[in-house]
Amino acid sequence: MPQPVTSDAVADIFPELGLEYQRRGDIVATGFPAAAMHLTLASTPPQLPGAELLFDAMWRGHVPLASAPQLLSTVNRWNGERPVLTLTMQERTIASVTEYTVAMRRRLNVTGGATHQQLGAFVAETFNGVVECCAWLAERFPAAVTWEEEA
Amino acid sequence: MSQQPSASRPADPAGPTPDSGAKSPHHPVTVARVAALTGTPAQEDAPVVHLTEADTPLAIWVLPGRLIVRSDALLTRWPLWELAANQANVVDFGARLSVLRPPEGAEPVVRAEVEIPTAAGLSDRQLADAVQHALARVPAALDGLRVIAAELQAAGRG
Repeated sequence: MPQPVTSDAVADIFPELGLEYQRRGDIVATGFPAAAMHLTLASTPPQLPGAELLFDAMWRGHVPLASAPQLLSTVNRWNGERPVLTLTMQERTIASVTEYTVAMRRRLNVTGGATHQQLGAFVAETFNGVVECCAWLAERFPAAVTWEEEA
Repeated sequence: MSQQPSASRPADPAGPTPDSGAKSPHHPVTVARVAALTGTPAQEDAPVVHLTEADTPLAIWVLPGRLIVRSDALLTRWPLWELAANQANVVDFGARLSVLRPPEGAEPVVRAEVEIPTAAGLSDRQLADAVQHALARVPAALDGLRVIAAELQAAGRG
């Protein structure tokens, strides 16, 4: 039977998948060299009352302004071709240098609760999608990869 | 984090106990269930139902592990649709927007879609909730994109 989804229920999935995680209040966070990830529970907009589980990831690569048009095109292509994850190009300016990176998001409607099995499938499939997406980005922007890839 | 999860060893996409549920979920999502829910006949030659919501033609594709609720709309010629779609995805109207590359000389098309994960099945209530939200969010995302594009155009970008 589906149960109301809590951050504890989300965290319980990780050891079963062999994944490490951290708790920061109601946020369940994990990561690997190419991306930081976290899951949060959110309310849906008031005109559509309900609840959803958001899986957010941030690529650790950054590209310079000159490569922003290619990054935008790459993000758009993923969104048009791949079923899992919405990619967005994000801008950040540090010490007056503007760089661009990629955020990834996937959501699960949990208005009517979810089973342990459903949460597990969602977390596992999304985690794998992030891994695949980071590899896909690294192929296209190798200069952005400043971390050591795992063997 | 004491030990980073390994990217080279993918998490099992079937979930924590793959033998118990994902392969034979209690409530597999089928075209027949989606057709009954939306009061729309299923197509005979493809796993899809078509309907209209908020004057927007929509398709619900029943694929392995997911439903895709989708609408494609023609756009005017304008070089910054990808930028506008990215901004709309950052705002997040709850449906993903992408600009499909048109053949030479054709008008571009925007695709708005919501993916509903179904690998572990969905109860009737869960299916109804998820589809109801998706049917509202796809037209809202198309509207949101047009608003953002108008703002960009008013600001003189393109």
